[in-house]
Amino acid sequence: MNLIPFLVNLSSHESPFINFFFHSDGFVIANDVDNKRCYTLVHQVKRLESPCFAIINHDASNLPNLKFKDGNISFDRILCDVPCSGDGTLRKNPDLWKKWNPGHASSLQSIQLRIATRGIQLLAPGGLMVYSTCSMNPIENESVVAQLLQTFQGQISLVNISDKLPGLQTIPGLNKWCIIGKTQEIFNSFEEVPKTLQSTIRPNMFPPSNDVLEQLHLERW
Amino acid sequence: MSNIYKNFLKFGFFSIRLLPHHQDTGAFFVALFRKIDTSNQEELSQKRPAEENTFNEEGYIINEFERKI
Repeated sequence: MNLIPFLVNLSSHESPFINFFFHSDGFVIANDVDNKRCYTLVHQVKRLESPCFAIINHDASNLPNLKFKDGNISFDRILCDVPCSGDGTLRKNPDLWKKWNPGHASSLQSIQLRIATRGIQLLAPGGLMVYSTCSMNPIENESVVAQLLQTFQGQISLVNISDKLPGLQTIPGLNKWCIIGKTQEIFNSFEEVPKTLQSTIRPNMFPPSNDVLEQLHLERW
Repeated sequence: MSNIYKNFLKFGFFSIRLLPHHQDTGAFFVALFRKIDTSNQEELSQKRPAEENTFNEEGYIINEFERKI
């Protein structure tokens, strides 16, 4: 049996994926750390009566290896929609206007990095993983991408998706950014960060240096 | 254009940002990774056994799944 395991990580967008696999040998696994959201998903998916779908309720950064027959399952496609500060939803989320502060991103970056790292570990050779957030903060976006490229140097590459969806208006990711602390002070490099803030603002949140970029051999992609 | 500069562009240009005012949506960031199928996989498989010992896999949903198939 040719299996196409597919791991998704969010609760409301699975239906297209499940339908896709309905008449194939593949299957979809959805994971959410939140128990209530898992139950909501059960209700939503039940009406599809799909034989190729499973829901698991686990911390994605520690997702265990899943056994099938003799080996561990590795996934051909992973959709890694990580928890984020959600500042991209400001227009529809009035609560966020009171709660949001620039410090949120700094505290979320490590969990985002751990989830994405586990995702890449579970990915089959040649497999694809989408990393997505609904945030505009480079700490949660480009800095995670840069860190993953360094951790899995030579094992993963970024795929150019800027021209994959004609008609969709997008802008490219950032190459340079600065970091704003909780009290709105601006840092351009880790050296500028005072000692008291160095536990929350980490070196890997800053843009990768030219030396690092050169080591990554991006020209081979 | 120097090599480093080209690399720099690549790093940012390969991922996309969706902005709210462009299409009346929320804001999103999307990046797509491909796992390279190379001999590097050997290093990775050496790491795997250690991971296995960390977890207890008994009773996971996937076993149910196996029976159905």
